Amino acid sequence: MPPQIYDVIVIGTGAGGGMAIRTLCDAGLKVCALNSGRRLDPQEDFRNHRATWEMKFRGFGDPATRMKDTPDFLDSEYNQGAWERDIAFTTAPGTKWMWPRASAVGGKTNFWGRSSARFGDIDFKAATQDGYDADWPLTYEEIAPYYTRVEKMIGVASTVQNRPSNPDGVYLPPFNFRCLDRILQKGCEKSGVPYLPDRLAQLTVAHDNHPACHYCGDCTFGCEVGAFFSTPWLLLPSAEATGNLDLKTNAIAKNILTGPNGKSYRSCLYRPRVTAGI
Amino acid sequence: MAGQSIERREILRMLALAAGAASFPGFCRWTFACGHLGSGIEQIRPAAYRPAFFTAAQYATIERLADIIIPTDETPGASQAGVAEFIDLMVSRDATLQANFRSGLEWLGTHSRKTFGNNFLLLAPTKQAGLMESLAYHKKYRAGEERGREFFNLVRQYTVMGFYTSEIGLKELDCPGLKFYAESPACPHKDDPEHLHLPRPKG
Repeated sequence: MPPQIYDVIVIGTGAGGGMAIRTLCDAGLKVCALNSGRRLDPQEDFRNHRATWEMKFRGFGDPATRMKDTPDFLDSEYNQGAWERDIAFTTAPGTKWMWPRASAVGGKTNFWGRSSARFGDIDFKAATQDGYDADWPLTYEEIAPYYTRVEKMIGVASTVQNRPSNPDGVYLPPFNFRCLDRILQKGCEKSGVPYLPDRLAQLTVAHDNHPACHYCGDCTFGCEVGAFFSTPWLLLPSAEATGNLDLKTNAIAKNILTGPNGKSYRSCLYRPRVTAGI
Repeated sequence: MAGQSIERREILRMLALAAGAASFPGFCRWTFACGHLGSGIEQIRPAAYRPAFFTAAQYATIERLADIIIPTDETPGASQAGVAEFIDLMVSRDATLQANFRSGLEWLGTHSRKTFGNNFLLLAPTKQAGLMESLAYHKKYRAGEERGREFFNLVRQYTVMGFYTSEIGLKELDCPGLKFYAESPACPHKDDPEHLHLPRPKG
């Protein structure tokens, strides 16, 4: 088989990779995307519409295969099978560190916390403020249009809050405050701290052909209908529609080969995933 | 509360109508698959259950312990919720749990024979509960029973996990369970001074 020639190879399809894939495909470049895992089936792999007693292990996951020492929302029975367990990582002796990785197209955008605040001018000039390291090479004003573009693309719900440290963007209607919020808000009012809605990449109204949230609750187990931002739901469909994307799943990037001058990247070797015990 | 009274079927219809949603992979199957929601899976009946890990005697002991921890009184207890089956399933899948349960049961057997001259299951219910109480309550702790207290904590943990993830247990908690809302649910207690309703920041 003759080698496939692409304009760009993107390794990984998470938040960064997904955005690169969509932007490049939209611009008309031929893109090959490698992902180390499979593509999830929203109905099979996101199980948050099931009652605990309808799950074999009541939602706790199979003790035989579940990652040890991880919080419940990672690798629970509601999304077990979406997490990396074939590729090992090591930890220094005496340290307890974990590296939960989603082994799936979209990576952890499938399960992320959805908080999508902009950096403010204070962040870009942090070094000037505290004397550590260097300021960003660009200003908030320069990057603001890109924030706007992404917010319009992925859908972010919030309110206009007029706080320069956390600049306002282009927002869908905010989530309503529930009882807990009201009680916290009362406490915050006493101590003079504003209690405000976060900027959430979650759809309070239908957006870009995606239905609005139905408020079932357990977003970090994955969304069956794509009502919050994740690469597979909101970036890949349009990238695929351009016909410019060749997405290789279960393909683990192994080596990046450079050109004759040793500098420019030319190609990428990958190997297919071999799942232990199957 | 906004939308709470809307039937699930209605919500699904609404979701399906949401622009273009039905054209996404998985969506149609998702709506279809949700048809089973609320049907409730019948709990496994204790009499028909064959333990995957415990021996018959061990299993009966676990069942008894779970029932002491969450007894059947005016509300259903651990045995109605199938807690012992749940514990057996979880333990059967984890070597560390197996070692802890096995050694704990052995400790309980030895302790029971030493204290009352008989196996735990053959003791009168009051004596069984008495043994448990000295493991459960700080005020009743006795020296030399540390292993027993660890075992009690383990059984209690798994009993609570099993009971409050069962349909019976969640009903007892008044847990509303899975609900869909047509719009972002809001605090309905506008007149409650604890639930402060401040105006939104002007935008």
